Amino acid sequence: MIRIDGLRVTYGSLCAVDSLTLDVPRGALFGLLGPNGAGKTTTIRCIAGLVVPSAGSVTVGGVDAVAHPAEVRRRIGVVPQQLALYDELTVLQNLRVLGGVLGLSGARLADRVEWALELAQLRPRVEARVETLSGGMKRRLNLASSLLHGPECVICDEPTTGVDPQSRLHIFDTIRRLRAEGSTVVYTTHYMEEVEALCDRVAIIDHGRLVTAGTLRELLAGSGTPLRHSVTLRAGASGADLAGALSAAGLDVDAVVPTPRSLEDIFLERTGHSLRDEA
Amino acid sequence: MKPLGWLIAKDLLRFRADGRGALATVLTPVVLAALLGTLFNPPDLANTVRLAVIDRDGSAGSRALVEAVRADPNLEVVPATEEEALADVARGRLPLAIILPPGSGAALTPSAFLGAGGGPARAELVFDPSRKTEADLVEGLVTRIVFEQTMSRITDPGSLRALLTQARALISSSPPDPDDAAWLDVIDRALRLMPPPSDGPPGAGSTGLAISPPLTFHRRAAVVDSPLGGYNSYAHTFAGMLCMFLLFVAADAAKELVAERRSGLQTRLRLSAVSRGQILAARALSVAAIALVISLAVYAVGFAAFGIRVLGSWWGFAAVLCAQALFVGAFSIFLAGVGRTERTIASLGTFAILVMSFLGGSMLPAFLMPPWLRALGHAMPTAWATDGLAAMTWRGMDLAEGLVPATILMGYALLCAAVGSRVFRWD
Repeated sequence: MIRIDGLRVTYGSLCAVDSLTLDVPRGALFGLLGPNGAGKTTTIRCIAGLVVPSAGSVTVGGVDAVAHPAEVRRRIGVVPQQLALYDELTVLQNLRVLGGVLGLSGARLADRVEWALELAQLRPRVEARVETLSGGMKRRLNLASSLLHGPECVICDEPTTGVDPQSRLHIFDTIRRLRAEGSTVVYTTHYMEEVEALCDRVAIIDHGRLVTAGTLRELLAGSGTPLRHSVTLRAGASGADLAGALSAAGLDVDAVVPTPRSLEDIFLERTGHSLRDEA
Repeated sequence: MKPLGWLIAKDLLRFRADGRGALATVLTPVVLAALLGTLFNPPDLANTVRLAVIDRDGSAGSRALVEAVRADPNLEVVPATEEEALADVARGRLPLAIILPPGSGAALTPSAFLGAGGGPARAELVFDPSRKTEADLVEGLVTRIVFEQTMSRITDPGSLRALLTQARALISSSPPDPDDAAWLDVIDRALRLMPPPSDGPPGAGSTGLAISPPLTFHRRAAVVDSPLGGYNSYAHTFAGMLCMFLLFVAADAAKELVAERRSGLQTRLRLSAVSRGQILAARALSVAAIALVISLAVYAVGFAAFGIRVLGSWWGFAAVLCAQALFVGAFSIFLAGVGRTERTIASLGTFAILVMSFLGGSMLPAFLMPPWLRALGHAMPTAWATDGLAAMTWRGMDLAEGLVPATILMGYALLCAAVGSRVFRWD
């Protein structure tokens, strides 16, 4: 779906992206990882046709992003890291305006606005001004606003920044749903557990260069670190029981280490998984 | 609706969403224009100039002068001692004081023309330096009163008889001259023609010779002949204040445009179906639409509450308002492009707007400025906007007089839009 070949972007003497080559298959949920300043955002801007590369090429669905940026933008939906919304306008006004700017009109616009309201689960707050929404609601609206035109490829730039666990789960569900409906998703984040939870393919870049890429399984298998499996025991069973059972089955167990539940596990257990939409 | 339309609609919705802000953009220029309009009311409605007159002479002549000054409808003489008057002027409580020196009364008699009384008296005019215009006005008025009084005395038979008798004595006592006989004959014949002297004081019971000044003035304001009336100071101040506050609206819009870059909204828009040019054009057009709405609201108040009327061409009025609105829209793009950051736009915009408003005559009447500043003012779009609106309202000019400023404002709009979009920073 997205093919990046020998991409190089320089700002004066600074080389933001250096000879980057990547291939994002159609229908993939692709994690793009890298520390701050690694070149993730510049790469996304190149894919969207907002930055003209110094060298190399970017194609989306076979369309050159430099030669035909408008065509590429019709195929992609970029979920910006910032909350790119009009605070003074209502949820509905935001969706209608942003859908209209994306080229939708008439019944198609109305249908897509309804779809986005359902996706973001913001129908009860449809007439609320965005400035009155909670951070999580704004994030969901930010995501839905980018998908109004039904893009084939969705690029999410750290979409879970500053949201509560419930909204994060909702965003995860949305991304999985998009992928299930056939969209290609590129997901950038600093949170490794998010990539592990969501993505099937991953690329890590640093200093503008590709460090490694492959499926999540390939990356983990090729790391040289022994494989770890997580087993959740029912109440009453102990780690010693597990070790005994594994040995009895003829498996060579190196260690059985009890893993305490994370704070997020406890948080979700106590507060539930449903969305909290109080501003 | 096309994407461009949605972009414009978005700004209009945002303007409407901030109801209090929208109301302030209308009320602020109205209130300031009303206050300034009151200051620049026509002279016949204006307050009189207050002054103190200190009579050090105390003669009948100087007392008569003080009474004549007091009787002038343009002046209000306040009672004060010399010490009080000087202190009040120094403190700014009184614009000026006139001190009549000893001998003032004698200097005002007709015989003073013949050198009697030691020549002209030198009155002192002490004024507050910040109120020089009032001092100039009073000096002119008092000079006129002095001449009127002197002329009145010359035309008084008793005074004229004394003057002629004095002249005859002067000629008789001077060294002999061949022309003396002829002059003395003229004087004697004039004295014989005059009525006999009365027992009363000079001028009493006499109508004089009815000599009148060779040139008098009839004041008439150069305004359109209309049953609705002519000059309206509010029409002038509403145009100026409206122009200035619309430019502040433009500065706010420029800041919003730059803030959209920071918030990622601009990137979102660039990822949509609109071009960069459309993004800027939509912003300029939406600001222009908002400026037009504010203009109509401000003039609606002006028409309803301050008696402003379009005495000229309504089409011309509409043309100037539309051109001004488009200039304001383009000015927002110019500020956003040149200013680049919100802080710079705030400082640069305030500076540019105040300078343009000052030079363009929105804040002060142009006649108070030196000639070179007045000339510079003609280069300001604000001057064309305010003059254009004045031409269509109280000056009562025709459409052609409105199209000239409208065309020039459009030129400024194109220039601002071109420069602003060229230097606008997208990333």
